[in-house]
Amino acid sequence: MRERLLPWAGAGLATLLAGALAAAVISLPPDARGLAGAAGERLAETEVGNPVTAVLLAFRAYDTALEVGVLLLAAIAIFALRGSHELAGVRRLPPGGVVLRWMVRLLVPLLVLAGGYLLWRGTHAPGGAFQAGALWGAAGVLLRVAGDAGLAGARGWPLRLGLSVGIIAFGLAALLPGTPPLGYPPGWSGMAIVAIEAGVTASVAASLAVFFTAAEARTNE
Amino acid sequence: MTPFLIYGLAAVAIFALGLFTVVVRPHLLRKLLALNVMGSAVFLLLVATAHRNREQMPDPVPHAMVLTGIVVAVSVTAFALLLMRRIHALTGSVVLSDEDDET
Repeated sequence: MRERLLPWAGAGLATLLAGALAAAVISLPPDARGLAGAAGERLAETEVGNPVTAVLLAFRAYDTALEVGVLLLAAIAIFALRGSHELAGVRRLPPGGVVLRWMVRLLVPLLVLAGGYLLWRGTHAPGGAFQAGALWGAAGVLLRVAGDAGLAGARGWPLRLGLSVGIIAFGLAALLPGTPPLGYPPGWSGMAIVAIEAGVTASVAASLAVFFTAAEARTNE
Repeated sequence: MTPFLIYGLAAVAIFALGLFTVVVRPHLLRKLLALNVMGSAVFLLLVATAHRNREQMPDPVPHAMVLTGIVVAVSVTAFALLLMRRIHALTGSVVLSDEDDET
Protein backbone atom coordinates (compact mmCIF):
# COMPACT_ATOMS: atom_id res chain seq x y z
CA MET A 1 0.00 0.00 0.00
CA ARG A 2 2.75 2.38 0.93
CA GLU A 3 4.65 1.67 -2.27
CA ARG A 4 1.67 2.74 -4.34
CA LEU A 5 1.09 5.96 -2.41
CA LEU A 6 4.72 7.03 -2.33
CA PRO A 7 5.04 8.38 -5.91
CA TRP A 8 1.88 10.47 -5.44
CA ALA A 9 3.03 11.78 -2.09
CA GLY A 10 6.43 12.58 -3.55
CA ALA A 11 4.91 14.34 -6.56
CA GLY A 12 2.60 16.33 -4.29
CA LEU A 13 5.46 17.39 -2.05
CA ALA A 14 7.65 18.36 -5.00
CA THR A 15 4.83 20.34 -6.63
CA LEU A 16 4.01 22.22 -3.43
CA LEU A 17 7.66 23.08 -2.87
CA ALA A 18 8.09 24.11 -6.52
CA GLY A 19 5.09 26.42 -6.24
CA ALA A 20 6.39 28.08 -3.09
CA LEU A 21 9.88 28.49 -4.51
CA ALA A 22 8.56 29.84 -7.80
CA ALA A 23 6.53 32.43 -5.91
CA ALA A 24 9.69 33.41 -4.04
CA VAL A 25 11.74 33.67 -7.25
CA ILE A 26 9.07 35.76 -8.97
CA SER A 27 8.92 38.12 -6.01
CA LEU A 28 12.65 38.90 -6.25
CA PRO A 29 13.40 42.29 -7.83
CA PRO A 30 14.59 41.71 -11.40
CA ASP A 31 17.21 44.46 -11.23
CA ALA A 32 19.33 44.46 -8.14
CA ARG A 33 23.04 45.04 -7.65
CA GLY A 34 23.31 42.84 -4.61
CA LEU A 35 26.74 43.18 -3.08
CA ALA A 36 28.54 44.14 -6.30
CA GLY A 37 28.80 47.76 -5.16
CA ALA A 38 30.22 46.96 -1.76
CA ALA A 39 32.68 44.48 -3.22
CA GLY A 40 33.78 46.89 -5.93
CA GLU A 41 34.49 49.68 -3.48
CA ARG A 42 36.81 47.66 -1.27
CA LEU A 43 38.46 45.67 -4.06
CA ALA A 44 41.59 47.84 -4.16
CA GLU A 45 42.37 47.08 -0.53
CA THR A 46 42.76 43.38 -1.20
CA GLU A 47 45.38 43.89 -3.94
CA VAL A 48 43.81 41.30 -6.21
CA GLY A 49 42.05 42.15 -9.44
CA ASN A 50 39.53 39.33 -9.57
CA PRO A 51 36.47 40.16 -7.45
CA VAL A 52 35.51 36.51 -6.92
CA THR A 53 38.96 35.71 -5.54
CA ALA A 54 38.74 38.78 -3.32
CA VAL A 55 35.39 37.60 -1.98
CA LEU A 56 36.64 34.04 -1.47
CA LEU A 57 39.90 34.86 0.26
CA ALA A 58 39.49 38.32 1.75
CA PHE A 59 35.88 39.31 2.37
CA ARG A 60 34.51 35.82 3.06
CA ALA A 61 37.71 34.03 4.00
CA TYR A 62 35.91 32.39 6.92
CA ASP A 63 33.64 30.51 4.52
CA THR A 64 36.61 29.30 2.47
CA ALA A 65 38.46 28.17 5.59
CA LEU A 66 35.48 26.11 6.69
CA GLU A 67 35.10 24.72 3.19
CA VAL A 68 38.70 23.46 3.23
CA GLY A 69 37.88 22.02 6.64
CA VAL A 70 34.94 20.14 5.11
CA LEU A 71 37.28 18.63 2.51
CA LEU A 72 39.60 17.46 5.26
CA LEU A 73 36.64 16.12 7.25
CA ALA A 74 35.45 14.08 4.28
CA ALA A 75 38.96 12.66 3.85
CA ILE A 76 39.07 11.73 7.55
CA ALA A 77 35.66 10.08 7.29
CA ILE A 78 36.86 8.10 4.26
CA PHE A 79 39.95 7.01 6.17
CA ALA A 80 37.69 5.88 9.00
CA LEU A 81 35.59 3.75 6.69
CA ARG A 82 38.34 2.26 4.55
CA GLY A 83 41.35 2.33 6.84
CA SER A 84 44.18 4.62 5.89
CA HIS A 85 46.64 1.78 5.41
CA GLU A 86 44.57 0.56 2.49
CA LEU A 87 44.91 3.73 0.47
CA ALA A 88 47.54 4.93 -1.89
CA GLY A 89 50.05 2.39 -3.04
CA VAL A 90 49.10 -0.75 -1.19
CA ARG A 91 47.01 -2.13 -3.99
CA ARG A 92 48.22 -0.77 -7.30
CA LEU A 93 46.11 -1.07 -10.39
CA PRO A 94 47.64 -3.12 -13.20
CA PRO A 95 49.61 -0.91 -15.58
CA GLY A 96 47.51 0.30 -18.46
CA GLY A 97 48.09 -0.32 -22.12
CA VAL A 98 50.32 1.64 -24.45
CA VAL A 99 47.68 4.23 -25.34
CA LEU A 100 46.94 4.97 -21.71
CA ARG A 101 50.58 5.33 -20.78
CA TRP A 102 51.31 7.68 -23.67
CA MET A 103 48.22 9.74 -22.89
CA VAL A 104 49.29 10.06 -19.28
CA ARG A 105 52.79 11.07 -20.35
CA LEU A 106 51.33 13.83 -22.49
CA LEU A 107 48.51 14.96 -20.23
CA VAL A 108 49.97 14.98 -16.73
CA PRO A 109 52.65 17.63 -17.38
CA LEU A 110 50.06 19.76 -19.21
CA LEU A 111 47.62 19.38 -16.33
CA VAL A 112 50.23 20.38 -13.77
CA LEU A 113 51.23 23.37 -15.89
CA ALA A 114 47.64 24.46 -16.50
CA GLY A 115 46.86 24.12 -12.81
CA GLY A 116 49.81 26.26 -11.83
CA TYR A 117 48.82 28.83 -14.43
CA LEU A 118 45.21 28.96 -13.21
CA LEU A 119 46.44 29.36 -9.64
CA TRP A 120 48.45 32.41 -10.64
CA ARG A 121 45.76 33.81 -12.95
CA GLY A 122 43.20 33.66 -10.20
CA THR A 123 44.48 36.88 -8.73
CA HIS A 124 43.39 39.01 -11.69
CA ALA A 125 41.18 36.85 -13.91
CA PRO A 126 38.80 33.90 -13.50
CA GLY A 127 40.74 31.08 -11.94
CA GLY A 128 42.09 30.44 -8.51
CA ALA A 129 42.71 27.74 -5.98
CA PHE A 130 39.77 25.41 -6.56
CA GLN A 131 40.02 25.33 -10.32
CA ALA A 132 43.76 24.65 -10.12
CA GLY A 133 43.20 22.04 -7.43
CA ALA A 134 40.68 20.25 -9.63
CA LEU A 135 43.23 20.05 -12.46
CA TRP A 136 45.95 18.75 -10.17
CA GLY A 137 43.51 16.27 -8.66
CA ALA A 138 42.68 15.06 -12.17
CA ALA A 139 46.42 14.60 -12.81
CA GLY A 140 46.67 12.54 -9.64
CA VAL A 141 43.72 10.37 -10.66
CA LEU A 142 45.25 9.83 -14.12
CA LEU A 143 48.52 8.73 -12.55
CA ARG A 144 46.71 6.22 -10.36
CA VAL A 145 44.68 4.87 -13.26
CA ALA A 146 47.82 4.40 -15.33
CA GLY A 147 49.37 2.26 -12.60
CA ASP A 148 52.45 4.25 -11.62
CA ALA A 149 51.30 6.68 -9.02
CA GLY A 150 54.48 8.55 -8.14
CA LEU A 151 53.50 11.57 -6.13
CA ALA A 152 49.87 10.47 -6.34
CA GLY A 153 50.77 7.35 -4.37
CA ALA A 154 51.69 9.19 -1.21
CA ARG A 155 50.70 7.65 2.08
CA GLY A 156 51.42 8.11 5.73
CA TRP A 157 52.48 11.50 6.94
CA PRO A 158 53.19 13.08 3.52
CA LEU A 159 49.60 12.33 2.52
CA ARG A 160 48.27 13.76 5.76
CA LEU A 161 50.44 16.84 5.39
CA GLY A 162 49.20 17.39 1.85
CA LEU A 163 45.59 17.03 2.96
CA SER A 164 45.88 19.49 5.82
CA VAL A 165 48.15 22.19 4.37
CA GLY A 166 45.10 24.19 3.28
CA ILE A 167 43.55 24.46 6.71
CA ILE A 168 47.01 25.02 8.23
CA ALA A 169 47.52 27.97 5.87
CA PHE A 170 44.23 29.46 7.03
CA GLY A 171 45.16 28.84 10.65
CA LEU A 172 48.44 30.69 10.19
CA ALA A 173 46.63 33.56 8.48
CA ALA A 174 44.19 33.72 11.38
CA LEU A 175 47.03 33.98 13.87
CA LEU A 176 48.93 36.83 12.16
CA PRO A 177 49.66 39.44 14.82
CA GLY A 178 48.32 42.94 14.53
CA THR A 179 45.35 42.12 12.31
CA PRO A 180 41.89 40.78 13.03
CA PRO A 181 41.57 37.00 12.56
CA LEU A 182 41.79 36.11 8.85
CA GLY A 183 42.69 39.72 8.06
CA TYR A 184 45.87 40.52 6.18
CA PRO A 185 48.40 43.26 6.95
CA PRO A 186 48.14 46.15 4.48
CA GLY A 187 50.69 45.73 1.70
CA TRP A 188 51.00 41.99 2.27
CA SER A 189 47.48 41.14 1.23
CA GLY A 190 48.31 39.99 -2.30
CA MET A 191 51.16 37.72 -1.23
CA ALA A 192 49.17 36.27 1.65
CA ILE A 193 46.28 35.47 -0.67
CA VAL A 194 48.53 33.71 -3.20
CA ALA A 195 50.26 31.74 -0.43
CA ILE A 196 46.97 30.61 1.06
CA GLU A 197 45.66 29.74 -2.40
CA ALA A 198 48.72 27.57 -3.04
CA GLY A 199 48.06 25.64 0.16
CA VAL A 200 44.39 25.27 -0.68
CA THR A 201 45.27 23.99 -4.17
CA ALA A 202 47.48 21.27 -2.73
CA SER A 203 44.77 20.31 -0.26
CA VAL A 204 42.07 20.16 -2.91
CA ALA A 205 44.27 18.03 -5.20
CA ALA A 206 45.20 15.61 -2.40
CA SER A 207 41.58 15.35 -1.27
CA LEU A 208 40.32 14.60 -4.77
CA ALA A 209 42.95 11.89 -5.18
CA VAL A 210 41.94 10.38 -1.82
CA PHE A 211 38.26 10.48 -2.83
CA PHE A 212 39.02 8.60 -6.03
CA THR A 213 41.30 6.10 -4.32
CA ALA A 214 38.68 5.23 -1.73
CA ALA A 215 36.27 4.20 -4.47
CA GLU A 216 38.65 1.67 -6.01
CA ALA A 217 37.33 -1.86 -5.85
CA ARG A 218 38.98 -4.07 -3.31
CA THR A 219 39.93 -7.58 -4.26
CA ASN A 220 37.98 -9.23 -1.47
CA GLU A 221 34.71 -7.31 -1.99
CA MET B 1 10.03 37.32 -18.99
CA THR B 2 13.45 38.47 -17.96
CA PRO B 3 16.44 36.13 -18.29
CA PHE B 4 16.64 35.98 -14.50
CA LEU B 5 13.06 34.69 -14.35
CA ILE B 6 13.76 32.03 -16.98
CA TYR B 7 16.84 30.72 -15.17
CA GLY B 8 15.25 31.04 -11.76
CA LEU B 9 12.10 29.11 -12.65
CA ALA B 10 14.16 26.49 -14.48
CA ALA B 11 16.24 26.08 -11.33
CA VAL B 12 13.08 25.65 -9.26
CA ALA B 13 11.76 23.02 -11.68
CA ILE B 14 15.05 21.07 -11.63
CA PHE B 15 15.11 21.26 -7.84
CA ALA B 16 11.60 19.84 -7.63
CA LEU B 17 12.44 17.00 -10.04
CA GLY B 18 15.51 16.10 -7.98
CA LEU B 19 13.48 16.17 -4.78
CA PHE B 20 10.89 13.84 -6.31
CA THR B 21 13.59 11.31 -7.20
CA VAL B 22 15.19 11.47 -3.76
CA VAL B 23 11.87 10.79 -2.07
CA VAL B 24 10.40 8.21 -4.40
CA ARG B 25 13.17 6.05 -5.88
CA PRO B 26 14.64 3.40 -3.60
CA HIS B 27 17.98 2.87 -5.33
CA LEU B 28 20.71 4.60 -3.34
CA LEU B 29 22.77 5.70 -6.32
CA ARG B 30 19.73 7.33 -7.90
CA LYS B 31 19.08 9.20 -4.68
CA LEU B 32 22.65 10.44 -4.62
CA LEU B 33 22.56 11.56 -8.25
CA ALA B 34 19.25 13.33 -7.62
CA LEU B 35 20.82 15.13 -4.65
CA ASN B 36 23.58 16.33 -6.97
CA VAL B 37 20.95 17.52 -9.45
CA MET B 38 19.27 19.50 -6.66
CA GLY B 39 22.63 21.03 -5.82
CA SER B 40 23.17 22.05 -9.43
CA ALA B 41 19.73 23.67 -9.45
CA VAL B 42 20.66 25.75 -6.41
CA PHE B 43 23.91 26.81 -8.09
CA LEU B 44 21.93 27.87 -11.17
CA LEU B 45 19.64 30.00 -9.04
CA LEU B 46 22.58 31.61 -7.23
CA VAL B 47 24.38 32.52 -10.45
CA ALA B 48 21.11 33.83 -11.93
CA THR B 49 20.65 36.18 -8.97
CA ALA B 50 24.23 37.39 -9.42
CA HIS B 51 23.60 38.54 -12.98
CA ARG B 52 20.44 40.52 -12.40
CA ASN B 53 22.00 43.94 -12.87
CA ARG B 54 23.16 45.27 -16.21
CA GLU B 55 26.36 46.91 -14.98
CA GLN B 56 29.92 45.81 -15.62
CA MET B 57 30.59 43.66 -12.61
CA PRO B 58 28.12 40.92 -11.66
CA ASP B 59 27.69 40.32 -7.98
CA PRO B 60 30.73 38.24 -6.93
CA VAL B 61 29.37 36.93 -3.62
CA PRO B 62 26.96 34.33 -5.11
CA HIS B 63 29.77 33.19 -7.41
CA ALA B 64 31.98 32.53 -4.41
CA MET B 65 29.12 30.72 -2.69
CA VAL B 66 28.67 28.48 -5.73
CA LEU B 67 32.39 27.61 -5.73
CA THR B 68 32.17 26.70 -2.07
CA GLY B 69 29.02 24.71 -2.72
CA ILE B 70 30.61 22.71 -5.53
CA VAL B 71 33.50 21.67 -3.30
CA VAL B 72 31.19 20.68 -0.45
CA ALA B 73 28.97 18.74 -2.86
CA VAL B 74 32.01 16.83 -4.15
CA SER B 75 33.05 15.93 -0.60
CA VAL B 76 29.57 14.76 0.35
CA THR B 77 29.22 12.74 -2.85
CA ALA B 78 32.55 11.00 -2.28
CA PHE B 79 31.62 10.04 1.28
CA ALA B 80 28.12 8.95 0.28
CA LEU B 81 29.54 6.74 -2.48
CA LEU B 82 31.85 5.10 0.02
CA LEU B 83 28.94 4.51 2.40
CA MET B 84 26.98 2.99 -0.46
CA ARG B 85 29.82 0.58 -1.26
CA ARG B 86 29.99 -0.43 2.39
CA ILE B 87 26.24 -1.02 2.51
CA HIS B 88 26.50 -3.13 -0.61
CA ALA B 89 29.46 -5.07 0.78
CA LEU B 90 27.73 -5.72 4.09
CA THR B 91 24.17 -6.42 2.98
CA GLY B 92 24.47 -7.27 -0.72
CA SER B 93 21.73 -4.83 -1.74
CA VAL B 94 21.68 -1.27 -2.99
CA VAL B 95 18.42 -0.27 -1.36
CA LEU B 96 17.84 0.42 2.29
CA SER B 97 15.51 -2.17 3.78
CA ASP B 98 12.83 -1.53 6.35
CA GLU B 99 13.13 -2.94 9.81
CA ASP B 100 10.08 -5.18 9.56
CA ASP B 101 11.28 -6.77 6.31
CA GLU B 102 14.03 -8.69 8.04
CA THR B 103 13.23 -12.32 8.83
